[in-house]
Amino acid sequence: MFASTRNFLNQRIYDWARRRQGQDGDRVRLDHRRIYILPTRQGWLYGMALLFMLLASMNYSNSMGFMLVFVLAGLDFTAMYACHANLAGLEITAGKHPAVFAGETARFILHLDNPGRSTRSAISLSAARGDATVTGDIVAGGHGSVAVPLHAEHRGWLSLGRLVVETDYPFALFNSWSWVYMELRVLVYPQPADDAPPLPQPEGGHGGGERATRGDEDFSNLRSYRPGDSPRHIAWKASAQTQRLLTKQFAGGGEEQRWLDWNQVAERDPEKRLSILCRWVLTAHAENLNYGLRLPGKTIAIAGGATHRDHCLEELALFQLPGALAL
Amino acid sequence: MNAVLPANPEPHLERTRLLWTLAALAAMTLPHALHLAPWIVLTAALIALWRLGVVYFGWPLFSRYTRIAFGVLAFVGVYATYHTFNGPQAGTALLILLAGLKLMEARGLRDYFLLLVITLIIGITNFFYDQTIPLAIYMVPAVWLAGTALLNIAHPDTGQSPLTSAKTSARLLLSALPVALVLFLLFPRIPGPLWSLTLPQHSAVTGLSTSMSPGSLSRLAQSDAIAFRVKFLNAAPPRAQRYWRALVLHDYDGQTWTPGNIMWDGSDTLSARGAPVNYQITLQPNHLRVLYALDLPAQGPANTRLTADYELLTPHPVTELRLYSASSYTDYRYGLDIPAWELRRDMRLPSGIDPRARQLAQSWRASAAAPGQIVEDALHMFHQQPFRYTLQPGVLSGPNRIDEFLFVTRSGFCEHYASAFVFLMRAAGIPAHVVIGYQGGTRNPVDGYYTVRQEDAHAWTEVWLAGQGWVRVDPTAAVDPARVDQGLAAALPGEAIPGYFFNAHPWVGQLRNAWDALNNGWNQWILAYGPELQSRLFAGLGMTYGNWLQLVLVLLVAIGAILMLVWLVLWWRHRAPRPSGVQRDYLRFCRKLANCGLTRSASEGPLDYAQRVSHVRPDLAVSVRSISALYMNLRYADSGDARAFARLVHAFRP
Repeated sequence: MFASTRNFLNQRIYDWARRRQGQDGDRVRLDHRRIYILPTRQGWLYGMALLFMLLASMNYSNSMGFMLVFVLAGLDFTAMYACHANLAGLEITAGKHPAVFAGETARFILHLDNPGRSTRSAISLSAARGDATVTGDIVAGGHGSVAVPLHAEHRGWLSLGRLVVETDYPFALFNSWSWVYMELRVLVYPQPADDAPPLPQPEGGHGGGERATRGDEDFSNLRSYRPGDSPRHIAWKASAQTQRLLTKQFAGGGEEQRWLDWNQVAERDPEKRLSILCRWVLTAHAENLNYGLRLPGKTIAIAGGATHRDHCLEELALFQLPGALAL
Repeated sequence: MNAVLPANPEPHLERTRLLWTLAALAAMTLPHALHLAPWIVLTAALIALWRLGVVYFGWPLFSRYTRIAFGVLAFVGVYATYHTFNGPQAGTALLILLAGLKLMEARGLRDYFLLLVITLIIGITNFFYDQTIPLAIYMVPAVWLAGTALLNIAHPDTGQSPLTSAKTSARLLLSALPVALVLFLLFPRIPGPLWSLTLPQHSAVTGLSTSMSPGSLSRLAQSDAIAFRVKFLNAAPPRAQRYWRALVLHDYDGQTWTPGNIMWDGSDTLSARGAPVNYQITLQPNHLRVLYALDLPAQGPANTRLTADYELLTPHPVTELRLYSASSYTDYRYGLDIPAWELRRDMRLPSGIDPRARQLAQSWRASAAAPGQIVEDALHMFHQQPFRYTLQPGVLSGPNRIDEFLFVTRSGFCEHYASAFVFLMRAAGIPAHVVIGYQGGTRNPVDGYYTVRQEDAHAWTEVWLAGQGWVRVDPTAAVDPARVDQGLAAALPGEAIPGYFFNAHPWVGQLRNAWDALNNGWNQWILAYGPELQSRLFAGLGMTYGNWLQLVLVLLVAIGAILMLVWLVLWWRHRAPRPSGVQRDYLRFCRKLANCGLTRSASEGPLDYAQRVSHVRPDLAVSVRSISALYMNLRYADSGDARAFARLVHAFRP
């Protein structure tokens, strides 16, 4: 019951902060309006110890006791300010976040700039929803990049949500933190099925799976290098002559019409189907095949290369999800 | 509990935490080795060494049962040593052993933090034994070390060198000092203890006690410890008038004089002549409920009570240095209207003892015309007959001690003379009592304060004469006038009294004066800082003291001002650097574009921005591209003409 009350209160606070701060852009400077600070568990313990020492000093009218207590209390005050100042002025810029497969850990790339004149130590970043934290120091005038991890459970867009930037430097007596509401998201591809059936047979005029394996030997012509082409297929000699990278094209692979079709998957569960399709895309790419993707209401023409693969994976990731067309 | 401990998270972090904690703990515990039973500090040291062995040589950690056994043994040991768990000594011993116990199982931030908090409390207990300058100096690096330890315990992983973290903690401690100073000056000090005081059992407290028996004052005369210091606000009275009154002793049991039960506590009118003597006293802890005052005090500080005997009493024993002001009259009369039944208390004697003294007193009474004559007779006897004033009077035994002294040994210290004199007066029917306190005091030429030492402890008497009230009579002065006029050293030239050495070698005496003056300043301004000095500070600021609301308000305002200052300093340190001239010009260029609707977004680099602008406004493309290119060169390649850039921006008209 206490836990639920606490959760309720916490949620109210988050909502309040969110309304108050509004949506953030791609670049945020942590100013005093958005930095919060509270004593830590150690801070409360320290405070209670100081109170005890103060009472003892009062009881014995001990001047040096008073002095020591007040020095330690002053240290508490300055620790509070130092902790706040450790965050204040820090600048955070969103980076580019690589896509991941469901079940992996997404990494949100953030660039930190310290425009101040002293090192900011022990700055931690984490997703409010996640449980992992990255911590580091940034020297005066320096910058650094961090990858905030967040577990990607499902395919589709994974939003970081509330980003927590915090520090308890110097004495861990206080924890100051800032909530950043950037629009940060990572594309999560479906989880590739481990037990996927083999690739479907090519449909084209030649047919027959054996052609696929022979394709490597049946060199037909050269074309420009596309990112994602296997280095094994680069025509090094010809490239050296023409001064640009050329990739060998093979008769077998090039002409096979290999369709990865939603309807060909012998599985009822749509997510499972997507998983199998995802595995097929990866396998086909790894085998350097040309392939197309057929989904209900969506067809991607036959092609090859990394860009094509990414395009296919993206379609799988966003298939029939609300808001899939955004971006 | 031990089963769920995380398996040593990161060994090198734990090592950092352990080493720093041990260093701070050792620094704070070391002074306690001087006054605690040796086994306590030794035990803690052995545990610390074992913990180091665990880290460096892989020795086994303490099992749960070892720890429980140790905890029980620690309590038993402390109780066996001090017979209590209460009071600073047993408390400190328990704290140190508790630190040892925690050290056995410490692991992770929380444990080491707790250890450091215990360390700080151990640190403050040092001051309950000793508040002298040397300890205060010792504590400065100790606190610094503790602060650095705290920093390293909280963040063992920042990779800072010990020197860097020491610098960081020094900076934080230095900025804490203004707050500390303001709190020290303005935090409301309340007089008296909050709960019962249990004081460190000082093995040999030298000072007055509340009774007087033969030998009690001559023992004090062996000590040159300082009893109190006096600052006269106007002219100091001559030495022969500097009688510092402590207690009046009424009852005699044949050996010991005691204050007795106070039967009458009515008001008395003091008729004084001359100007009052105003002075401030810094009293060393005397563990009595008595403040000393110049004979005869007319007014004492707040929270004290002036009894009908003109004793200055406080509600609680003086256990810390105490500063107070008082005023006295050296030319006075008191006790004129005291009721007769009250006087009878000061005429009682234990029956059946000292027959010869009684006989002598009766003979004086028979021959004297007035009571004053009897007083004269007694003083005359001390003066004329071979009475000796000495620190080694020999031991009086048997039931008739007064007789033995008056007629056999005839050598004694002030308590013998005072005792015998009051006995004689009472036997002759004159009300009399003993007064104990101090007499004399030496001016320290360095700071002008008068230092009164334990060796100045003295006993004198007061007799009641009709029409004059209580009159001070000092029989010691009749035996040896030098005691009162010049002090103990002059009165006892051959005897080994403590000040002898300093009088024989003047330069050593000067050194001692300088050190005394330094200590006195420390005492005056720091140790004795309490309600008295605080009210004076407030008066100096033009405020009335004693209004709690006002005190708290002043404190809050002062703290607020200081926090503001700290904030400003930190803000200054962390502020963004001023944009360079080139950056300012570029920002102006961006503003010009923003004015026609082409605002640069926060995440947009200059080249992206230029491309977007050129796309939307092809007419501006050339100038925008050249300005941006020049800016990139100036800013990142450090090449190009900044003035030309400024001119371009200035001429740019979108």
